[in-house]
Amino acid sequence: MKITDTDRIRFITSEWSGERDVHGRPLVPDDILDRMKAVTTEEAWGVLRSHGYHHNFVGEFIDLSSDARPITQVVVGRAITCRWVPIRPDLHDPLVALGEDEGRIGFLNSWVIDEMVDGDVLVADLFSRVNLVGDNLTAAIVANGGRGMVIDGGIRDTQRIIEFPDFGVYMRRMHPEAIPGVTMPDINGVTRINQATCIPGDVVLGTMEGVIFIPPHLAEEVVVRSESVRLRDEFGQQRIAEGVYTPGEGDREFSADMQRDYDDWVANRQG
Amino acid sequence: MKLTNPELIRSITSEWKGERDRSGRPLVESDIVRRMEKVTSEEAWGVLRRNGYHHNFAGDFHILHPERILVGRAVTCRFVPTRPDLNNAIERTGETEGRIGGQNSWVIDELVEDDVIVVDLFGKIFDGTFAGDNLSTAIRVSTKRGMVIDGGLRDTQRIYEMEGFNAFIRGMDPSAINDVAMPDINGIIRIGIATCLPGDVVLGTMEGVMFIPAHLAEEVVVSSENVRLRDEFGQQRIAEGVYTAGEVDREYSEEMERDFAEWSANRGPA
Repeated sequence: MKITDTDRIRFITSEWSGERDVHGRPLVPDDILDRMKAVTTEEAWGVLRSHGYHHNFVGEFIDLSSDARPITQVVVGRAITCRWVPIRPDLHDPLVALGEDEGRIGFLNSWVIDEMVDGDVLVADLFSRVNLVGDNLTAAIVANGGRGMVIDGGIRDTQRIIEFPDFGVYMRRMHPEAIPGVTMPDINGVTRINQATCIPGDVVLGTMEGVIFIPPHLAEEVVVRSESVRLRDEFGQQRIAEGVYTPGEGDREFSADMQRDYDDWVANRQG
Repeated sequence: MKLTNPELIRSITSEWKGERDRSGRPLVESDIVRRMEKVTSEEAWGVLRRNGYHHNFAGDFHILHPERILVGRAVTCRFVPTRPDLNNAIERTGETEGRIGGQNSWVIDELVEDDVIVVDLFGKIFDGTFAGDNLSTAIRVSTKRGMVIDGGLRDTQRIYEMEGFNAFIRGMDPSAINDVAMPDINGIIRIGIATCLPGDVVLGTMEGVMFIPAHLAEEVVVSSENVRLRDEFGQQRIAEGVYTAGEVDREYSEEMERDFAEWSANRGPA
């Protein structure tokens, strides 16, 4: 028995031909992750819709924005997932025994955190009712290079957690209790976060609107499309300001002349 | 990829020493399943609590026939909002395994007599109806029992008319199941605030659904039968004027215990 089903992850993500980690999880390159930070939720959403992905966005998280955490913070990283269910001794005891065999220590929530590496975002299904971590385990996530966490559940020690810089938290509840009455049958399985489905290796893009799970094989297209839109917008706005084109000309498909002008402009543009 | 992981199920249900099907699912004896029909939710709950099981009851269902008891062995499936990458992988797996029709019918095709199908559709009702009257007929014919759906039902007026069948559902809607994918058959699933494992004995009453671990099913039945026998004895003796209500409603005296043992021996099976 295994908590992580490596064959299944490889099979579901067979459209991904790049690198994978030891668990079969797709590893989208760091360069794409860096560029993803400039992508808006709607730009990603548009590309996903055009490929038939209609259930990859989830919103309505608690807004933790404050002076310590500006609302404009964007979270990007590779999803590592875990699924929790109400505890039963027959289920929990073999899971604990298995974890001990595998040399895992602490409670089950720390097992998945121990597997996190630089650039990961932890995605957890706690059916909106139960906490996942407090400030100590959050410090462990940060120390492992975690960029944030998306919890369909809660956190404790919120006052401490919001002080971690450059770390994004999406969650449903705050409560001082620990993690009572649950156990974790899957690490890196297919995980539902409310009305969206997350698969390990998805690129998580969290903005002020919510979280979108981008399949790894679409991540580059999302980035390139967004960069292209931004470049055209910059060109159009510059030319309107210069009085070269009217707003109507800039806000529809470019004419052949404008397209040539645009190509020249892109070629000469610095950076 | 596999939709079912028998190794996992065997490992989790290792306290069960009896028969299993090819999914590794414990098969509690038919005799126990039949005797479970008389057990109340509270009797089962008491035994489960005593054994440390606190998250095995789910309520707040719409019950098609609250006057009917639903008992059987759980076959589970889990749905999530669909994605092309996931759904394509599941469809390819189904094709390899020779499965036909929609994914919801795959699990129905596996049902046998005395099964109860338990479905995690995350409370989805619109576009979340696990079955209509056609698939319900298939479930009824195969299991002669019923279904527990954390989701919706369609063709409810027709299903209501089916004899010897019951459904525990979250809502009704004329829409068909859509926009979902089924990554697991006979896996570990959550129904509301309870966890169900394949092979659990499902006990559905007017109160809700209890998922009884296979290895505790016999204890639940025997404990319930004992309580019922003592209640029958006590109430008979009160009516006969032999004991007072106070004597019966506490721990029996030694003499009463002897009387009860004799009475039980002469009474025959419950």
